[in-house]
Amino acid sequence: MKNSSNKIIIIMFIVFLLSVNILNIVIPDKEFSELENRVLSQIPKFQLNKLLSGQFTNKFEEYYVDQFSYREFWVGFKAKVEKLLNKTENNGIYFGENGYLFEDYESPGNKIKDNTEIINEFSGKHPDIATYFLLVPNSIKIYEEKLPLFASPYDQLDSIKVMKDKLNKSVEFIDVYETLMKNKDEYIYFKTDHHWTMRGAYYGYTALAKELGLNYYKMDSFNSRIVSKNFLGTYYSKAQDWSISSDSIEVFYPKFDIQYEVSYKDTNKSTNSLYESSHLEEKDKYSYFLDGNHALITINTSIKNGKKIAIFKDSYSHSFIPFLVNHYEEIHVIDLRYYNLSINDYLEKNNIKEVLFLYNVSTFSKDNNIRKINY
Amino acid sequence: MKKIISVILILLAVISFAGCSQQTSEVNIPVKDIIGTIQDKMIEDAIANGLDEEAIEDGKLPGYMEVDLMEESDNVVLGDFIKKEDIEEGIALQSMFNVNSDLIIVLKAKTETEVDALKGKLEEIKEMQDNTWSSYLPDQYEKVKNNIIEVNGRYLIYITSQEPESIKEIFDSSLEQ
Repeated sequence: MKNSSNKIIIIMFIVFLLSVNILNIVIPDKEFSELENRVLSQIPKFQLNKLLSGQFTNKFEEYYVDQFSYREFWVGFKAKVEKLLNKTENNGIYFGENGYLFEDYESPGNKIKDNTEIINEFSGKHPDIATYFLLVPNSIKIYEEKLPLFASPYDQLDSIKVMKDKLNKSVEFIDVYETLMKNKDEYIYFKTDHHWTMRGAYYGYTALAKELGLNYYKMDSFNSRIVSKNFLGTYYSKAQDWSISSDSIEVFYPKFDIQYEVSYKDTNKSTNSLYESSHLEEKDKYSYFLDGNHALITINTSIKNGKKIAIFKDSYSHSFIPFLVNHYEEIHVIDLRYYNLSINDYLEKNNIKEVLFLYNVSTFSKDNNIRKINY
Repeated sequence: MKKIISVILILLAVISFAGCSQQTSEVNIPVKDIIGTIQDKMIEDAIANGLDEEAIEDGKLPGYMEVDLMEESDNVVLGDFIKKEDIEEGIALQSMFNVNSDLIIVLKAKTETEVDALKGKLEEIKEMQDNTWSSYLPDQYEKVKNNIIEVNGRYLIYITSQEPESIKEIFDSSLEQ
């Protein structure tokens, strides 16, 4: 009797071991995880020297982990269990109230000071160019009361203050913190992504317009439409709790008559829309705005007022530019992370007399590419 | 029997010492040539992937630029990491304006003593690239993750590219003399 129960246990154990491995072999490898938004490791090519150096085994382990059958289920299961055990954070993302996810913000060290110096140098070198700086706080500051207990990110207001104090008077600093705080009851930040929503960007635009004395468009000059209800952003992918509900994307289209000519210079594509609807079918739906990241975009509008502006920016600008564009004839959008040619030459060649920097606090606190503007 | 074994052991010892003492003669290949060969290979790959041959002018990959790290004005970001005092030659190959993480740097250290420090600097560059690419564009970030940093004598190479292995092979074989 004892012997047969042993046999059953042995057989069950063997079946378990085999079935996991057989499943791993039988289920086809995936190239990409949509939920995690990353490329998955593929089976490494065998080479003797790589085996000896240990590289092959490392790569094989990565492959095995990435291609484990039902991996996404297990990853989500782990996050879920940890949440039940009161873990309030996963992969640097806090689980906030009401389905809000927040990315931790750490002390920027000297980065803000250094980057501000670079902006000052730029403004000093170009006294003929009107320079504006719009620094946008992230959701973790605006909605800090929704953070889990004992979460203590570095205070973004401190970073904003450092920048404000350091910045030369020749640069116009646009403070959007107060404006965003006033409107925080509205849907101004995505819950599952690191961006502000287009509604948030609208309030940023009004703050800038007031500072620059532009006659800004009221919200009722636009038709608003929800273009997607199932946007799962970057925070979602990192937090790995697949039960968090999705965001919706609201877009404001002008009621007034205006035409745009948008040229993506790096990919040689032109269009007359500020939006690329194909991205709404993909994971990264925020790329709907201005087709995501490009090194250089120019936008010409039907407003023939001769005004030109260059924008140095991160992706927060993508939902913001559709508002600003209605005040200029020519807009040059440069992403310094990807643009490696001389900025001096570019500004001179295009005879640009207005420059806007638009960054969110988190990016600006880590950015290493701003120094390219002085070259 | 003992004798035979001791003879074999002595022979083995002599051979292995001979292996050590084999003088590697100082390799002296201009960095420009190495970058040139790498660029040829990249052009070949690009053509295989459907790039129009007409787009290539004087053997340069379209959309890419060579940055001479010995020239002050040419090195904006990389110049912060790699000081020209530490290198005899240095060239970086990167895209001009493109959402593309490709970056290849070949350096020749001034003396052996700078090699370790330069390698550290290349690791810092890797960290910076990691920062720039980790939150967006998984395909570009993948290239950064597969980055290779290699040292060969006084030469160093930094490779972020679709096919880092094949570029490393070019680097190694260029220095095999």
